[in-house]
Amino acid sequence: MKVYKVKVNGKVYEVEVEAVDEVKGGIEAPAQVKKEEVVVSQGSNDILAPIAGKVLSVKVNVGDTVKKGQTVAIIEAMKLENEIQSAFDGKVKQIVVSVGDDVRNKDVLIVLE
Amino acid sequence: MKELFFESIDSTNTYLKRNYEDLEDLTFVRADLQTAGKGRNARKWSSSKGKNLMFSLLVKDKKVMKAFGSLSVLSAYAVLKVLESYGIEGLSIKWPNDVYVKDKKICGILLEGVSKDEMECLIIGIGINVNEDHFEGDFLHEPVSMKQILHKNVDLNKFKEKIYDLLIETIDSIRSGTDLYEKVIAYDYLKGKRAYCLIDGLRKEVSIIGIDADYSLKISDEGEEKNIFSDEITFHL
Repeated sequence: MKVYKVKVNGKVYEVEVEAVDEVKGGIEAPAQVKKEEVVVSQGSNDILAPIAGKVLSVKVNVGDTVKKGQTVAIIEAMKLENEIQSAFDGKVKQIVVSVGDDVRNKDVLIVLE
Repeated sequence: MKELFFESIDSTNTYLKRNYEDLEDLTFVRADLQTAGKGRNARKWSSSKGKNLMFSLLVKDKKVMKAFGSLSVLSAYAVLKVLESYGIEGLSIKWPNDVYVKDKKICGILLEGVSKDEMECLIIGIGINVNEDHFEGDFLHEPVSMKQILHKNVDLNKFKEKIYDLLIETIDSIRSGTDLYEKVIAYDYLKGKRAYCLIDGLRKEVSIIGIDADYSLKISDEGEEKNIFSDEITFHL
């Protein structure tokens, strides 16, 4: 069983893939895929997308100290460049999105600890 | 209507982003000179001191902010109508938010927002070429000024008052739910044109159908109609 990390629309999933032996003739049964969703933190210190749009830039790196009010990312939607500011002080634990990603309203962008 | 004026500032948009929490809804910030004026996609906006109208308007009304998708185009429409009242012909709106006189750009608009858990404010940054005599440097789109078209200086203060008044009136229309779409599309610069645009990393020639009712841009890509929302699309005519 091999484990792959797959990123879909900004969310990371862990997928286990089991190889199926070759069978001559007949119809092969599909490989059994066990999908485990990696739940990105929904803690109170997550920085969420306030609107749906595209990530224009990410202004921080993992390990950076962030102050309340600091701009951490910019999301573009309908010609509006929207600065996302942190609502609290913290340290960047995980950056969930990359430049160019499409995000939906309330998607987690950055996880702080 | 409140206005803050600076003889010189880095950027009126940046000023509002730094200070929006302490300012009222519909505060204008204007400058004679911007040392770090901004356009969309981190481009610069340059202008000679005291010759042009450069300002930003702060919006904090939640209902208006919710309609941000229409604000770029409708702000451009407000500017266009004032320019039209000065007798300037050949005006149009080049989606998403430039005002053109025939094939030259007379006004650029940068819409920015600040969000924490939700959108806290919108900032409409507007630069209009009023009394610029000539333009130096390389430009993405050839510029033109009111003075170059009208062959006379324009009273900047009177012009500014008209622009402010019509912008406020336009925002009131958004707040009241008045639909300006049918009026706006009469000035659609790109409608019916063919253009190259980048779609999913591929450069394609497409037909522009025009500004749609939700203020996105409708295009036809090999017979398939699509709506463009994102600013990552680049048009080359």
